[in-house]
Amino acid sequence: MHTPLLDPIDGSQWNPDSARHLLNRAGFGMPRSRIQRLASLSPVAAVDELVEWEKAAQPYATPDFLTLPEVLRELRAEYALLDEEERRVKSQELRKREREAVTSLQAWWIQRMATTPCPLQEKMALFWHGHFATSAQKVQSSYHNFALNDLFRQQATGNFKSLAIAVGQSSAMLRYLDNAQSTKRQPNENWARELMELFTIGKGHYSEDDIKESARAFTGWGFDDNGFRFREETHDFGEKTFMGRTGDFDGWDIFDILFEQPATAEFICGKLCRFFVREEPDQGLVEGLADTFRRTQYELKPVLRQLFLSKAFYDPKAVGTQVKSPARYVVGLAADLGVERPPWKLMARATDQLGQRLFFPPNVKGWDGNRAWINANTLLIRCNLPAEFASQAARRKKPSEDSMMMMSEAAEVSGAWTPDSLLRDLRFETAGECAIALERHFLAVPLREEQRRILLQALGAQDAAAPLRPDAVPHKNLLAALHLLLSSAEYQLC
Amino acid sequence: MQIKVTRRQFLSTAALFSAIGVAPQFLVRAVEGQQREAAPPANDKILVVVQLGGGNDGLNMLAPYGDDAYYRARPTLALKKDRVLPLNEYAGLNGGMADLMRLYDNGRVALIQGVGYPNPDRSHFRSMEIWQSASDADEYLHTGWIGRYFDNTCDGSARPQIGVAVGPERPQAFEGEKGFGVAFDRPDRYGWKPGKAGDTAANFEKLNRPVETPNTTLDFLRHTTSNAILSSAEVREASDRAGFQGGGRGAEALKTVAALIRGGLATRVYYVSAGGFDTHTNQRGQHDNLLQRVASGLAEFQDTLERDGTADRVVTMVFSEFGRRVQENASRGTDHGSAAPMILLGRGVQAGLHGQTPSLSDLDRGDLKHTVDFRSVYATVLEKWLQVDSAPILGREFEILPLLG
Repeated sequence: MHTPLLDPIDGSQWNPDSARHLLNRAGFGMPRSRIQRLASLSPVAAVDELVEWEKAAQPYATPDFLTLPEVLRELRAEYALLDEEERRVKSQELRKREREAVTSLQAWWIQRMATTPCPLQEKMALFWHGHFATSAQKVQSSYHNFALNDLFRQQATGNFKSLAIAVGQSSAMLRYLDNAQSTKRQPNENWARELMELFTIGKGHYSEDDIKESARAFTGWGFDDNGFRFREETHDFGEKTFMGRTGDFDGWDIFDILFEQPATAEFICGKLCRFFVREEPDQGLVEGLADTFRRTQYELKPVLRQLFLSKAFYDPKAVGTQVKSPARYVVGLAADLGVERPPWKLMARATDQLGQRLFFPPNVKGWDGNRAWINANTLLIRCNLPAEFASQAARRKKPSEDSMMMMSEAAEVSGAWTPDSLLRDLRFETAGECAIALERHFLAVPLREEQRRILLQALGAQDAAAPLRPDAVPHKNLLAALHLLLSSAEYQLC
Repeated sequence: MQIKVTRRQFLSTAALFSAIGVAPQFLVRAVEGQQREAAPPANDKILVVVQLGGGNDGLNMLAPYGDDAYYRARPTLALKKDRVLPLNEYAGLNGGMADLMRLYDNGRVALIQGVGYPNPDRSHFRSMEIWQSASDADEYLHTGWIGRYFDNTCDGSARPQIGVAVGPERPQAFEGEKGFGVAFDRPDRYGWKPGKAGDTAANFEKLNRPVETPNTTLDFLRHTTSNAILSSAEVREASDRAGFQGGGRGAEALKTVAALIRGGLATRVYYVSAGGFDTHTNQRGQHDNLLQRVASGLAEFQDTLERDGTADRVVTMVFSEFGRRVQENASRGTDHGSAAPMILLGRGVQAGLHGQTPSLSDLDRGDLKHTVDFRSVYATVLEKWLQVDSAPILGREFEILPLLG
């Protein structure tokens, strides 16, 4: 099937703005240096650099704050010798440690998003976290949460069917949707339902009977300390009828049948388009990508490459029209301000306040995204965050919750971050040029003239022609202008 | 630190918008309302909606302890007779809900049995959408029933905070054409903090002034900013007047609601959401605790209203997107079901047990058949409490039940 929406853009349309758009969406917004690098390549080479991320990948260690399965096994043996009261106390301590480990894991992930040489890998991991959502509210093992998260990272752009099966066999998912406790005597339908409604073919393509029958097929899928385990003794070996076919199906058979349904490709490609392109993507775009997805037996890279090269991706209807997700927002904020050692924990906490608590999606549907991130409250939090963020980056110590400094005060404190690092990258000789330079640096959409005048005023200039050089901008004024700029509706978009 | 939107600022803002003809509708009407010294609203009644997310097990909240079928279907989960607070010989409240029982005995609680809708959907998301949009099971509406109530009835003096959700999300039920309704966690943190140089509140407002653009998301963001500026000042003033600080989530959020009512915020509908009711495994202790928290939260809320002298103006309505399967599953939990009871609380309610008890033997795929359409309850609340025509809001007439007045 051919659709002009999927025609690749040509080299003449490729410029720093398109490179920036690509990094905004396929990554988390990145330093100017990376934008300039990608802009200097051909579109195909730039997209390849992101999609073929393995070439730049660097090894990383499993975080040392997790409770690993072997440690857990030892602890269990140890607890078995205690009396009931001691065991209760110890278990409580362990639960507390595990909660703290998940908090550390949030900051660990934010740091990876911000510092990875492979932004698309982490962006896709975030996509899968929202798609195959599990919550640490219920999955209380820090290791299980990490293991699923790392599966999303390792198989970020691999084969979707393989990923879906691996997720179905992950301890986190088996626990979260209760399949580990589903038995032939009384099958639990939770996993079977969400597998179809949310993870593969989508609503309208299956019946309540399909849920009941596939729940029987998945009985016996469980886990122990070593990971996935098929428990024959609880599996229902009887005959099932699923999607019009009859046989003694098990979980693997159900996956095979689901991936024969054309609806799965469209469901996933539609979701990718909403995540990467815009809230209401053209049906033609979704169908074209779904075609590729089916043709390649659910390989993700061909779909992503085609998407990131398509005219639809760089269309004005797409550029600068997406509300930044909280994770994209806080990671981008650090990059935009040029903060070298950002306060990772504050950033992780901020994503929570903004409605995206990592490892704790609100439910199995994940986050709705885009406009759903925004209400009067979260918008005000976004507008207040940069000042708090800048003051913390400047102080590099833990602030008390009540003594948040305003951005204009932050400069008075000597510390790690000052706006000088930002000014080094900007070129201007007048106040007007300064305002435009700031606007271009921070925003994906242009301001109106009257908005620019407000920035000029904050910069302390009477008019746009007033001479102003980077080394002569009073910090107080610059920070006031930044405070306003980062409190604009425009800054929420990418 | 507070941004006080004075009447003068209001007028100048609106004048400017009117001049260029793109003022957000609510803003223009808000100012016009002020200019003619706003006529008193039709009534001053308040509705508080409490959502129990995840599918609350109605059969273990309002237990049919007089029915052997209940014990047969739930060998490990059924409440033993000594764990039930009997309402009659057949049904009783979960033993954890003693606080609610006290209010029931005081004539403050109506329990409506068997509430649901035809062709029930067992997906959390779709069923919640059906409840929030008040649609048929096969009908997709992008607006919510409370949003349509605002759209249909709000006059010029209405402010965005005519609807307040205390929590992180603005519910789909608030979705409407005119954009009424805001959401926040804590009143004292709800507002933009100006700096000490050119980053003033006035500049913040000017920078984000709504001007229509082809970028509709930008439009949406600017309108939301205007809503936030307008409402946040008044919300903080109301919470200051009530001497209230802090604020929690879930049933705790009812404390915030009580304070804002005491502080005189011009809000007609409050919305509070508690989660955790999706009890597929090891349900008993968990679910009892959840119900205990809901009951004590509701009781404390009602007691506060009585103390504050605001109880005559408030009715609270509790719902969940569905109940759960009659038969327990192998994990000592329950799967998604259909009909379940609703709770109405307040001085204005006709206390007692309402509706027909659903049968435990005549089931639809193992689920209860509903006996009351949830939109009948909405219609009753709209007509008898908020005193508006329900048909334009709900799309057609629904039976009015003897629940109020």
